Amino acid sequence: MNLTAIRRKKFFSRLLWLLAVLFLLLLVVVAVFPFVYMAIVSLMENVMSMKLSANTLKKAVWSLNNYKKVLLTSNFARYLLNSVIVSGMSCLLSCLFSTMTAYAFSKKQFAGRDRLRGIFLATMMVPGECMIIPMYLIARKLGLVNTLAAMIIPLISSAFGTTMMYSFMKNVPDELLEAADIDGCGELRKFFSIVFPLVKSAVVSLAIFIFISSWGSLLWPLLTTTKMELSTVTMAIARMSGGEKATNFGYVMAGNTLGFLPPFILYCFLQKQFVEGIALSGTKG
Amino acid sequence: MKKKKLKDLFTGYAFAAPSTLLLITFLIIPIFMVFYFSFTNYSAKQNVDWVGLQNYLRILKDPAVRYALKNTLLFVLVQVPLVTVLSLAVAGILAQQHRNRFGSFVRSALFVPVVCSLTLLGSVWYYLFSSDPSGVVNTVLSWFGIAAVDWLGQGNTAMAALCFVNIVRSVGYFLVIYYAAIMDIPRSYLEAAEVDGANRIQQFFHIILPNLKGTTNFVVVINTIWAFQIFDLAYSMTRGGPGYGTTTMIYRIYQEGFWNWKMGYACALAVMLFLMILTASGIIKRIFRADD
Repeated sequence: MNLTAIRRKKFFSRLLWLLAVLFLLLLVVVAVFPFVYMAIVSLMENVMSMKLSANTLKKAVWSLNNYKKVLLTSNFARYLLNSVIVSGMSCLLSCLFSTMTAYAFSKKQFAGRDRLRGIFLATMMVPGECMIIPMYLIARKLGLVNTLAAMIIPLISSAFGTTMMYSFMKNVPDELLEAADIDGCGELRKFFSIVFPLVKSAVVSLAIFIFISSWGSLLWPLLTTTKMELSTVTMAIARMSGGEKATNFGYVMAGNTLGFLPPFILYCFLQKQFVEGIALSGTKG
Repeated sequence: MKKKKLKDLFTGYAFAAPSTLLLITFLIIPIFMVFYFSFTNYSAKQNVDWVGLQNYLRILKDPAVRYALKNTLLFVLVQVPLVTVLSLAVAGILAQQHRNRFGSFVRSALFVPVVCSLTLLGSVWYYLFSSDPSGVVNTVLSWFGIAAVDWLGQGNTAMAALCFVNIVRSVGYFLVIYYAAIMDIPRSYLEAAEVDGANRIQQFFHIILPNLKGTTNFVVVINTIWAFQIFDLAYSMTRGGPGYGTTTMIYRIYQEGFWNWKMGYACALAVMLFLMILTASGIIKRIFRADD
């Protein structure tokens, strides 16, 4: 190979590298810009034009009035609280139940165990949203409609969570459990003080995974509540956008920002676990 | 020994019971119910009567369903291939060239839309896609000399906008799965290829890609199942409109069931969608198994 050929090859590989970097940066802008825009507009008073030119930014009156208005006129604080309760409880109960089930599947011998585990695995492929009507009818029969519990209880049992926790039960050595048995350790204590701590990191990942999906779920809460004061943040956001207040978009963006911040702040602190929860879902396929 | 077995039996059931009961109540019983009610005229007021295939015959003649079906299939067919290719490409680039701070910055940034809900993302993009020439998307297009488009005001462009927003979020999600899978490929494979003189692109196609078959299978199946059930974006961005422009199957089920209170008919639609999803994921699995 002569020198020009080598040089040309190097040039092309550099060019390819540059194109790849530009492509990545473009994607980053597309992914992140909407949130920057959201935050900026939410801080501007009486935004008339949607254009973010230097001119509008210069003329804009910066204040927290949009936030004040959202929190005071629309019961938004209540919606935030509802979301925290619903997501928090779903998270807690789902993690607990999933780990318990995974523990039973992995460390206990009982008739029908493997068949039951197979059923759990199979339900992962069931498209849940297709079942909303019978789910609603059952929830109504159980008197859950128009309660926050309706948004929590039906989503606690997580086939995904159980399957994920099951694969982590290998980390719990049988000898440890046997030793605990010999020491006369009770079942509940064994579970909470031996098993749970050993799978803690997986539980955290699962918890975050459930938290974001619960925080963002729209269809099911929409069906189970007709009372405004039981709305979640996500419902409130869905109602605002395209609704009658849609023209005052500083106001809408303030609402959006308030709905965005709780999971985002959590993400900033627990980035690794966020990503892990999703990466794990892939390896279980 | 026998005592231990008995105890295992008891505690095993006890630990598995809460989840199992909830799973039966809120997922397994509903599967049977949705099939049963699809053959009835279940609605808000009347008694429930068996109507045979009437609901299904009505589906065939319902223009709203035709739109919903078209929109849903379009969404799946556009979304799934694009998301798969894009997330794979980005994961490949990041894993091969940017195992550094820039790479981890890109990964964190692309994950931000995943952290927030589709509803919220839709709500923000609703403004970005404004029909106004001063809207953000139209402004960017005007830099390239493209005239302002009323994105959400027409069926086709509104559907394209929905696809776009969903792709942005899904790429962030599946990228994480692909990236983790690529990092799991033993370094020695790639090093061996490098010794043999394979360049990055050859390495990607000959080493990385074949090792990602299982992951790709998973990504495509999950993404297909999700795409078939798209609702949140259609709700927060367009309310299914204009007309039936972005009405999807789930959106239609929601409207028939909870606005018109035609539960029986909505169940028939749900059964149809359910069977479509099962068929689609079955076909995908077969395709992936076929080239072993």
